[in-house]
Amino acid sequence: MKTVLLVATLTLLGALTPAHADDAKTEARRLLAKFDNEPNIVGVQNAAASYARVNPDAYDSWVTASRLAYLLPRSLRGQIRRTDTDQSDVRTTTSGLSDLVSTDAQLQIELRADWDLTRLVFNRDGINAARQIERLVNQREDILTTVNKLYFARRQLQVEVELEPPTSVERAVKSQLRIDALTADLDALTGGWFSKQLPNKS
Amino acid sequence: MVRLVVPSLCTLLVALAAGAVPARAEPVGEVWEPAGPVSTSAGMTAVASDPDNPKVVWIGSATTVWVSDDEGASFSVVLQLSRASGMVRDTGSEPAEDPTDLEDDPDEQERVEDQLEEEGIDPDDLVIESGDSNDHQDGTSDDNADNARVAARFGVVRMRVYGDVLYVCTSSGLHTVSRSARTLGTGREIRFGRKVAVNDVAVTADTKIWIATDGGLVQLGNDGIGVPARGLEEDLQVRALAISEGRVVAATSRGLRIASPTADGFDRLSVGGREDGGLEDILVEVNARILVAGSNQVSRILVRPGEVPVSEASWNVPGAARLAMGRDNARWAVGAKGAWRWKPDQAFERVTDGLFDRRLSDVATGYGSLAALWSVGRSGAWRLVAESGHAYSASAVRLAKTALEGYPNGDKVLTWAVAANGSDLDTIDGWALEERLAWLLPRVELLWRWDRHRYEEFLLIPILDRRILDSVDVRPVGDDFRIMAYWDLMPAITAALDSSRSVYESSRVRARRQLEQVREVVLPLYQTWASKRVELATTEDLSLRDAIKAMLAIQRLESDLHVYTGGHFPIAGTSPNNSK
Repeated sequence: MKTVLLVATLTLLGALTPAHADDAKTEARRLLAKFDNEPNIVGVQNAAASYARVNPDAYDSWVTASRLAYLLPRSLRGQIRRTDTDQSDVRTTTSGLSDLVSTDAQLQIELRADWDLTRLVFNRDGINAARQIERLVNQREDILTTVNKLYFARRQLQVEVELEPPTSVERAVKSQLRIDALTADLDALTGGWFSKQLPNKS
Repeated sequence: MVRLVVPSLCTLLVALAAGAVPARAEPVGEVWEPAGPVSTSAGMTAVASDPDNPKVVWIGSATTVWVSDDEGASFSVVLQLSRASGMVRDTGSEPAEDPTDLEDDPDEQERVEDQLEEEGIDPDDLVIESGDSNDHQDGTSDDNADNARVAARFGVVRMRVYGDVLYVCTSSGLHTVSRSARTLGTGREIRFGRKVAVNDVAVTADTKIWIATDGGLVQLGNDGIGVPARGLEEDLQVRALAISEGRVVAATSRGLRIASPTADGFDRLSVGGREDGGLEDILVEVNARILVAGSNQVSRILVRPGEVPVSEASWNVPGAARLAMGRDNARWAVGAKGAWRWKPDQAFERVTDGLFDRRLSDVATGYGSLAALWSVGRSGAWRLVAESGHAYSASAVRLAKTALEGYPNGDKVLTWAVAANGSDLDTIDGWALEERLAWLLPRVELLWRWDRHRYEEFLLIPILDRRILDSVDVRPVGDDFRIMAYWDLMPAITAALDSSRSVYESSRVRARRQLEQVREVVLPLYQTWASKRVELATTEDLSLRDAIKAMLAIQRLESDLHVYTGGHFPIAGTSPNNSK
């Protein structure tokens, strides 16, 4: 009986020991899952990109558009000209003198258009668009990596509060203020979107 | 914390994931693992280790010096150089606790370029041609060796530890930092006369400070005024200093200079038989021997006082620019062609396992039997660690591999990042071709004219005293419809005469620079992420706090990679669809 108990105990210990790290990871995941009701990082990135107008959707079509624009004529001119000329003529007929008046009107409609088809193959607007896109991509990366930094700094603080709840009012206020400051920073980058997505604590 | 897998396994797996080294079943000896603060766009330029504490290392870039006192696990900023004057800025950003917390300074490239221009160096000279990238990796091309040297000499050039002081030699002067400093605030500039690039500093036993500059060798007096060394040519570029048998030995642009015991004269020695053979570095060995590096050679020279210096041995070491002592009596030489190791009775052999970018600018002696050898270069800092395939259990290796399973490898991530960046050399080549061929299409003019004349005749009827319409005649008189096509041959002629238009050249330079930046940012980021994932998966006895910290760090790295890859890199637990 003692042998059975010993074996059972050892088996139990063997099963528990390697599971220690997994327990911590599982607990960590459980703790992080507490914040699932808050916007995730992809959502915040999208909001920040939209607010700063650096979303790829906004500029993806620039190069193509700059080329297709040259399907339209480079210049289009139209003119309508109308001239009226009144003439009086006196003619003699067999029946006697008659008064004949003739009018002469001219209406001219003209349309001119020209296309530079070389621009469909190559145009400098495409190069400018590409350079502008390059700048926007850099801006986008700067903004979104800043968002990442703020987002995870805020999450770290939230987790700290969960792990070690403040024992004094002063510490609680200080922690909350730091979280609020980061929330405000994220709001500034997302045009207030972030706060609106947070669950109402009241 | 007990680790099932030592960090070097992480490195190997990360390198495998990044496609940097081929998979191998055999033990690989020693490998370089990326370490240090996050890579800056200008790379790291200098490294020094503490002779008394193997855990302490300083790393310098174009504008910053970091220190780590935990073997590179975390870094703190101890010196921030300002662009305009080279003055030390006592205030600055908070030092980060974790390398992944350090921000890559987005303005650094701009500052570096501005300063290069101030110093008369064209920043474009530092741009590495993408077509030559393999040459750099393989170390088989000499074309950009000068560029690499210019890059290495910019910013913090070298760091030396003497007494309680860390001397920071920079391209704009000499600075000191307290050896014990772990935050900003102790940095000072040593002004010893005119502003000149300082390449090295040495302190003799009698506490005399010697400063190697681009304009000669200077001895710093007690009054803080620099006095040019007696008996040495004026305006000689002195690149490195060492104290051997109590005498100052200088590696210069025109060979070796060995001071007399009283330092009032210098013996000259041209290494390799060439009077103009420039030397880059000196390493003091025992028994009055020194190693000197330069002109793709490393030579051992016997410099006994009172005797004529004798060159005892010489080895071909391509690109060798810095020297250091390693474990097991090994000597190390690093430079633009990678890292080379010499062991007694052996030739120099290249050791580049794990080193995905071989353009190195400095190496630090690892003090003590357990100290790691550090090196820095264009892609950041590297640490040489022991790697043995037999050190890991099969389950540990499997566990580590599982940590990266299902995630994209480094090549894939880099491809995404390049595509997301929009800087594509093929596109620019396409523009040039399109411009050449555009003349094949014409300019088209279209003309349409509609012209009508209307004649009306009125007849007077006297009896009625009225005119009545007698006839109407409407006739077209000038209708026209024309389509004209013109071909302008001038662009074709111009393009044929001028094959390399400046607009494309500048675009290419920009694109290469962008691609270089993407590579320098994304690859270290990816490697840090992979290494943290492997570490998390293979670490036992993890506390809850450590687990959360590791998970958040991984998520942040994934989020950054998500940004740099245009949304392709997956973030665990999130997707664009479930983003709130």
